[in-house]
Amino acid sequence: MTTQELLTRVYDQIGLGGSTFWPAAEVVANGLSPAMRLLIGWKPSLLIQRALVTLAVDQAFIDLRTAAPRQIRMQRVCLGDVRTEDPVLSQGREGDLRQTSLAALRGHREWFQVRRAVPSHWYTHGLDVLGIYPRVLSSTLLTLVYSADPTPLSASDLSREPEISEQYHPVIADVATCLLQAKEGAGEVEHAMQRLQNIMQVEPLKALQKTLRAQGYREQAMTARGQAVSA
Amino acid sequence: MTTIASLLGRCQQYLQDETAQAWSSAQVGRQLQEEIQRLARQELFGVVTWVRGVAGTATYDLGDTNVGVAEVIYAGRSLRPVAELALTRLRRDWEKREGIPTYWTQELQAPNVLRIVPQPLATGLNTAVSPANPTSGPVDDNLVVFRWRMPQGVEADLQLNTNVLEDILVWRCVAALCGDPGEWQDSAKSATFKTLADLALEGLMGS
Repeated sequence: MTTQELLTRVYDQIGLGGSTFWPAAEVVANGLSPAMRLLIGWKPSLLIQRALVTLAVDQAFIDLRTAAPRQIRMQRVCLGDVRTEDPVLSQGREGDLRQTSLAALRGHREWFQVRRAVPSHWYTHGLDVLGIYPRVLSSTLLTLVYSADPTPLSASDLSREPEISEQYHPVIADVATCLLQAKEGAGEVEHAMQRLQNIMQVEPLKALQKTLRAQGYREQAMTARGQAVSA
Repeated sequence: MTTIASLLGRCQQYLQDETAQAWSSAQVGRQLQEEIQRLARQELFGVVTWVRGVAGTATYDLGDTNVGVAEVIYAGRSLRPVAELALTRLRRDWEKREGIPTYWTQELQAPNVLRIVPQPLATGLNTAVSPANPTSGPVDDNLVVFRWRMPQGVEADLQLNTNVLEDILVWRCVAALCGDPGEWQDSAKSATFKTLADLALEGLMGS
């Protein structure tokens, strides 16, 4: 679906007066684009990108703001160039680095001094820093595989299509409608949220389903505890 | 580029206050600034800084944008995070001690100050290095600090790597302003936008 088609679907759902109260630019900036980003958060596999990085000798960190500017969540760090079907090895090696954390590395006090031919682990420090352990003795090629922020849509280019799979385009418009109607405040906002919850429950959004289930369990546990206390 | 000014318009649209009659632009701008600080306090913006170790100096100023410290490395070795009370139990004169630093503490310091214990005996090389790539040489007798920063400045680029953070800032700002008691209070709308921001943050952080 193009941006124009998504706009039409949003206006159809909002009904009479939609384009008066929500100009196209607002629908795109406050509805369609944030809806895409919410969907990626709920289902990170919807937009996976790969970036090639050359790790210099002794380099311990990669600044993700420059190496992978639209990265939301790092999924894999692989040796060599695995962007295509025919991987290019780095120093004759291939394979994934294992994920670790700063806390785990701290267990070995001298971790920062370790140097080897190839790195074995990766970790993140916040959203912007990717750490590689151990530091390498020679230049190494790495491929970063990550969930990415979709390019925002624009009201000045209505022929553009969202970057995420076509099957999810109607969901973008549905979520966008809820986001836009939320601005109307008490009376309308409850309907918008109810619709959003329905979408969240019906769609196969793996990460989100997990969260909802966990919330359900938490609520059940709280209720059970409350009943136990009152009994 | 993300600036406070670029987020203002989105907030006003969600607030249905494009003419800034209910909430002045300055008020929305201030709220956005507060939300940035709140997001920073949640330790999302990591940065690695190389700090020159100085003989006999225990405290180091990490700058106004510092929110907290995650890890400290001295001369290539991880220092252990410790509470000052624990140091006092160990040895009462710990503040005077000199030697190879083993611990770091921030507990009773200002957020921008890092204290290492004991005070180092040597001064490190003052070779300029790329913050993202401290090399082996200057690491000797120097500190590599994994810290949390705060994006700053009304007009400056906030350097947000993802637009999801913009959504979270805007939605939290709308939630806060709608929730303020007064003529324009709308608790239902405030709760909704808070939920949206929480959902986006959960999507970003994965839990």
